[in-house]
Amino acid sequence: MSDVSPQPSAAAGTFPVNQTARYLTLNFGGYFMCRLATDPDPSDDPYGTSGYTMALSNEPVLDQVIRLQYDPKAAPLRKNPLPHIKVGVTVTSVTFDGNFDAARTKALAGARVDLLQNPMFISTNNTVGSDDTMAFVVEPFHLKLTHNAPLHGKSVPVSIEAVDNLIPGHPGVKAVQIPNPAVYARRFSTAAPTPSPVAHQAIGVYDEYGYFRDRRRWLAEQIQKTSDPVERQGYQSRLYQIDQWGNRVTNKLGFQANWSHGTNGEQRFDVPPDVATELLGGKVIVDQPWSVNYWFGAWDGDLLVGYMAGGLNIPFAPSK
Amino acid sequence: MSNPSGQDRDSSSLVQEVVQKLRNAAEIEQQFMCMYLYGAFSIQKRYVNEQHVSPNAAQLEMTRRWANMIYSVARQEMEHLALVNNLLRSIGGAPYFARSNLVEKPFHKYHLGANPVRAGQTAVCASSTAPGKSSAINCDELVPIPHDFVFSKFDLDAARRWTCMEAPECSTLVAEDGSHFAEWCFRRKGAQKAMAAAPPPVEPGTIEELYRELKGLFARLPVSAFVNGASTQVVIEQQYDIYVFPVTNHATANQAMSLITEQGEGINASPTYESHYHRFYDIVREWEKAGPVPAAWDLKHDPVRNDIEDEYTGRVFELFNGAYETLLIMLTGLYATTNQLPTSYPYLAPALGMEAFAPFMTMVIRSLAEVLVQLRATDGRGGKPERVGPGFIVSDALNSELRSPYVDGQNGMAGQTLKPIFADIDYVITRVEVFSQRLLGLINSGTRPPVVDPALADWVMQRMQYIQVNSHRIAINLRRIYQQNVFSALQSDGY
Repeated sequence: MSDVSPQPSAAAGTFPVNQTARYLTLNFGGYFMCRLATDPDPSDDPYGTSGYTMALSNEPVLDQVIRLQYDPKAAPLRKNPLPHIKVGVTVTSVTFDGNFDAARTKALAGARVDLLQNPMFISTNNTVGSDDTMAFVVEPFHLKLTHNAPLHGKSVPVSIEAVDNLIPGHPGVKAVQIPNPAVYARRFSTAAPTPSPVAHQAIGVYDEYGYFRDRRRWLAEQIQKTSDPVERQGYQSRLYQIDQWGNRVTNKLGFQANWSHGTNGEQRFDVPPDVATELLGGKVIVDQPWSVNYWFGAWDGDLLVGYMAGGLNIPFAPSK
Repeated sequence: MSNPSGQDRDSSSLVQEVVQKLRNAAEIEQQFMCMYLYGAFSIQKRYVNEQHVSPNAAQLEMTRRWANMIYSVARQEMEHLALVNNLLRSIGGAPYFARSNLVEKPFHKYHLGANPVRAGQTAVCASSTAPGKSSAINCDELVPIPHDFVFSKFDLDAARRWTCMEAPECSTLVAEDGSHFAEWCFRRKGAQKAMAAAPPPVEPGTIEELYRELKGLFARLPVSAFVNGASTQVVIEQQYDIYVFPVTNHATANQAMSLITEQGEGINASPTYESHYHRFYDIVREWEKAGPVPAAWDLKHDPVRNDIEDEYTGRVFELFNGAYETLLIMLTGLYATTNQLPTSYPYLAPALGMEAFAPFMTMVIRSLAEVLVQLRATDGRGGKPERVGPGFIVSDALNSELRSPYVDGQNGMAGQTLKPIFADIDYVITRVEVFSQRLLGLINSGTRPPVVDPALADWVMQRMQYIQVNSHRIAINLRRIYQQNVFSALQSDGY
């Protein structure tokens, strides 16, 4: 079965037959990577000179892309003393109508979550957003969940996609091309009060200062240990940045930026037609608006790694 | 009309004397800022994944940290310029953003000491004393070596020169503990001078002395001299090593000047404080230890338009100068605005303030300079550098306006009526939009940017498009903020 929402938006279509206000929520979470430039570097800076983030000289340049899955070629994870950090965002649980749903969690837990089309955090030095208040647009927004769901001892391919356009029906328009920020204000993040307990809990770190104090010690040790001059200089640059920027680096561990918006573009739920209803025990409604909420934060500016979590809300009609 | 008393006349004349000194200080701070930025723009960076730079990977990390320090110092020079303007505004002076263009000078003048030092070689120790022990340094035997402002690539010579220009007096260095004594900044008395007849303006102690003198003058001002309160001044609270606060009385004036000399020369700071002087000194020592490091692209020093043979590059050079002039106009308008926090239309100060720093400085000024240094300016024959950096050239006409921004201001004092170019938002918006359109014309001209390194051709074009799109948006934002005091993402106008 391939259910695809009408375009440009469900709201513009005919009155849907399958009305339901109840959501099936696919909750996801995990570490993400983003090799991004930081103020006061220009927002497209590929190298990182005056901000606290940088591309080391033996790494790929900064491309600003938000990656929810590990891509060692484009965004290698720097050496660090924390082996538990594994980049990858997956579905962690499923709820229906606000309640934990064990059966559907079993079906979809572990689904891979991606943001497609090389999305970035867009503010461009306060030109279209606000770096000062952490009001960023994730642009473009094309969420995709893929999974091989277990069913009767077999593996069932599942693909779920949701797209949101800054202006409904105009997928190519970027924020910088829209003079009035109110037009895309629904896509801005709002920063949670810092430090955010949610961010701390997600990564299990509550002592921000201690976390980076240990990093500084670890880096100092590596400088002494390594015989590779490039590696040594890289460690020195990392140590320099943490020392130089201090609290600006450490307090990002408790940072949390929240987004919440609908998806006005394509909404797809693709599963083999013979198991569509059986897999989830009901019907996914693609011709009603979906919504998504998510946060990015718990940011380690040395590793260029953070945590993201959220939920995709899909109208759902359970089988009788 | 009142008949001012003798005391009032004395006070007025003292204010004018302070204002003149502050104007000198403002110009010096801006020269420092431009000089450091020019050097920072020259430092080699990687813009694409191919290795196209001459420093090896280990050297690149070292030079990145140096670049970071230089940008940080340049930002603090901007902060100093801002604080000096708050000092000016506090006592009724006009904001001052004029800056004399650097004229062509013979390069030998900028070598350090009697014996020019080449990159990678050990500096000549003018005092013949090893650094590190204050007891070994006899300041009575030493004379500071003066230097001029010069826009040059960043090399060891420049690092040494900048160290000296940020250096405090010999006696201050000795009193500190002598561990950061830059011996190349001094010569023995009686040693042959290598300088031209007209002494360059800055030597160790120059800036320290300037602000010491200003502090003395401020101390003599009556309380009533502080005529403008905090609402007339620009405030930047703790952003990227910048701390700009309002000057409203003797105490805050003193704090502003102390901050400037603490950050610059390390005056009254801890011996371990990272002043500009210390940072440049540390770079010199690290560089000397590392040996030859090809840190920078070879840029023509003190460039002017006539140095550039390539028409395309010349147009980019001119675009940069025009953008820099626009920035100075925006800053003058911002600092001259008497109400920084208006509660009703028109919102001039918020419009200029929100656009002048980031994004205009970062997305236009710096971004375009980084493009310019990648373009071929000359054919490189005869040992000429192939590249130039931005000249930061201000036209005589604009400098004249910047020196006297009010219709009715006299002797550096603010008047009642600001000249239209500083008060008219439409003039600023038009300048930004014209910049954007000219850049678009260059992008669409069909001529490929004449990059020195072909590997960067695509990146240069992408960066130019990026600057163009964002500068157009800056023009739009100026209008919106001026009209509505809104850039807030959360403010809806009914869409």
